[in-house]
Amino acid sequence: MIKGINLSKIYESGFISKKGIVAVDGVDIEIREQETLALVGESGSGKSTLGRILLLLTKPTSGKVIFDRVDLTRLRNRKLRDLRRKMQIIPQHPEDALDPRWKLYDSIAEPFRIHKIAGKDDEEETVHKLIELVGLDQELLRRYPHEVSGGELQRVVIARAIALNPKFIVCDEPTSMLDVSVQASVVNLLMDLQRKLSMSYLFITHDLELADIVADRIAVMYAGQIVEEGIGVLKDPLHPYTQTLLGITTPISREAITPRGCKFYNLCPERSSKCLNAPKTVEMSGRRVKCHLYMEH
Amino acid sequence: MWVLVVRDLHVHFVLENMTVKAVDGVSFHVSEGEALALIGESGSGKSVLGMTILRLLPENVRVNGKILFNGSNLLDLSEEGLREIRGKEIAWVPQNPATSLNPVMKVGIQVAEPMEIHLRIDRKSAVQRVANLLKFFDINPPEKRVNEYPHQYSGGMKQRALVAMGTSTKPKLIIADEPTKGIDMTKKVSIVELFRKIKKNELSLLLITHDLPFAEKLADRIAVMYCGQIVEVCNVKKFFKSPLHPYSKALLNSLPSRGLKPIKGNPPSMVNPPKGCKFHPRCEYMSGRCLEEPQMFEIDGNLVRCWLYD
Ligand SMILES: Nc1ncnc2c1ncn2[C@@H]1O[C@H](COP(=O)(O)OP(=O)(O)OP(=O)(O)O)[C@@H](O)[C@H]1O
Ligand SMILES: Nc1ncnc2c1ncn2[C@@H]1O[C@H](COP(=O)(O)OP(=O)(O)OP(=O)(O)O)[C@@H](O)[C@H]1O
Ligand SMILES: [Mg+2]
Ligand SMILES: [Mg+2]
Repeated sequence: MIKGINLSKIYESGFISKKGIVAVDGVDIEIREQETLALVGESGSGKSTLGRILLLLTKPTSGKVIFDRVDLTRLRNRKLRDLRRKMQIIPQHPEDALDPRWKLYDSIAEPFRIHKIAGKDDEEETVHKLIELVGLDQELLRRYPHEVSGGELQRVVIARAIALNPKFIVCDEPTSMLDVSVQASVVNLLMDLQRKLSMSYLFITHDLELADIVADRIAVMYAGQIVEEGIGVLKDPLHPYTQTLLGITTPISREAITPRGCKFYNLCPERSSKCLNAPKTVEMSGRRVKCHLYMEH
Repeated sequence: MWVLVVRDLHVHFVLENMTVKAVDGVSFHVSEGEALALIGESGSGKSVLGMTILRLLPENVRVNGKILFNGSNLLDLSEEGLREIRGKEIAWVPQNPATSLNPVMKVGIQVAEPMEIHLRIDRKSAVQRVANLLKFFDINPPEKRVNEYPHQYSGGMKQRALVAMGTSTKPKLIIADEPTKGIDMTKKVSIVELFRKIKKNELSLLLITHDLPFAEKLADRIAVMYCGQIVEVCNVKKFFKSPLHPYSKALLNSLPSRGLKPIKGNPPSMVNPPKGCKFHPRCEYMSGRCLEEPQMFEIDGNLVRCWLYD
């Protein structure tokens, strides 16, 4: 369905020190049809950046994104815009995503208008159906973004993302502002839609329990790289970082400096001199791990 | 000693053709050195309640009731009197980093501002303190991060920068709205650590949160909101073992670890709320009496708004 090949993103920062922040560092990622890949990892590890790159909302510094056999990085803007109806985002901060001057109705209806899909009556009916699907009252549609609660706004953004029956959605912390009951209904809704419409999801979350429930596969990100990926990663973690993320082991330091080699070196309870060279990703019975412990030397 | 006392508070928004009863008769208190966690349904009025205490609401709002802080009613204070309290005596950590951080100002300077104003320290030492705070919250490298703009931060970093800003001035009461939203376990530990320290210094916390494990770790008591009302106030240990109100029980049962089962039925409307007990259309224990509004009943020092406890 969607595939990222050797993706990197460097944010240049500062005029003085021309040293950039490497937000995403040589990532290969693939999400198949009707599959949910959960992306977990600590704050700042590059999850949102990677998600946005897959939708070309952020341009990668290098690498390719293949969607439906087309390389998105080489498309013109118009072509890309047409494809956009098949790829959506539920952004981490919904307040950023909506125009504060528009009533919520117009924000949800916008995708229909851009892609010239529905007539006026159809549009109204669909918008009403969508807002009900996410468990909100139609009355809310006549309000502005600042006139609803955080979790209500998050659900409006979800309604907008599913409006055009996309094939792929990047869900970036989609339930971070919902109580656990509403979270359960929203997650069930997303899973239902996936089955009915064969959608694929990249599901970014800090809630490891939730990740384990929704995901077919899990990818763990650390310092811009995917360090472990596969099925059952959280039940049986192989990478030392995944083990610290789950609290099975503790990092041996608080200072995450990485001059060269493995990026987890300074914190890793199992490090050895080999780790001063960068590890390669190895594949073992469906699991991919980037760690010297599992490489043949 | 009670630091904050809220009595029969009503907050209504008047819109074009409707009134939203966002807070509808809320009473509670927070003691010195106590952490009270306010949990409950999305849209039930938690943020509005917090913003009412600091009078951060828009013009079209009607507020009734009393909010006593250090004995004086905040609702009677002049804007000037309030400025003395806001940020200095009572701090606020807002729910939305995107709308709360100024996009064209360096994070270091924004976070330093409350310290400059309320602690009367100069910009340079304030920014130095910010760097220390960023380091505490694992926003690395801090000397570089103080000079960055909000869009250069990841989502969780912005969230932590807000917590740093809200807690830097040693206020008597901190109201934090979803301070752990989108933050991973390892980083959450620093927030828990910080709030524990705050409590030890006899300062008080009102924590608005959907993060139940976080509430369990930090709170002394849990207050549960549903459709503009507090339906339960309960000691934390008891709450997570056996909560009182049917809504609380149903809420705990929809935790991911318990199978992700949502509460049946739709969330109530705040424009036309259900008659009587507002939870009755969705309640497993519903009986004829529930069409009448229940009062708060006291059970072993805990409070619950449900006829089952009459
Ligand atoms: N527009 C930008 N300009 C400069 N740096 C950026 C920008 N966006 C992100 N970064 C940096 O890139 C890194 C990765 O950020 P990203 O938002 O992808 O992290 P994340 O894994 O989503 O974190 P979180 O869990 O906190 O949301 C961080 O160091 C961040 O500061
Ligand atoms: N400015 C406003 N005008 C009209 N209604 C509003 C306004 N602000 C909030 N509301 C409504 O008041 C109710 C309470 O909102 P509030 O933000 O307090 O909810 P909350 O409990 O914090 O929810 P969440 O957990 O989703 O953040 C909601 O129904 C919301 O739609
Ligand atoms: Mg993010
Ligand atoms: Mg809120």
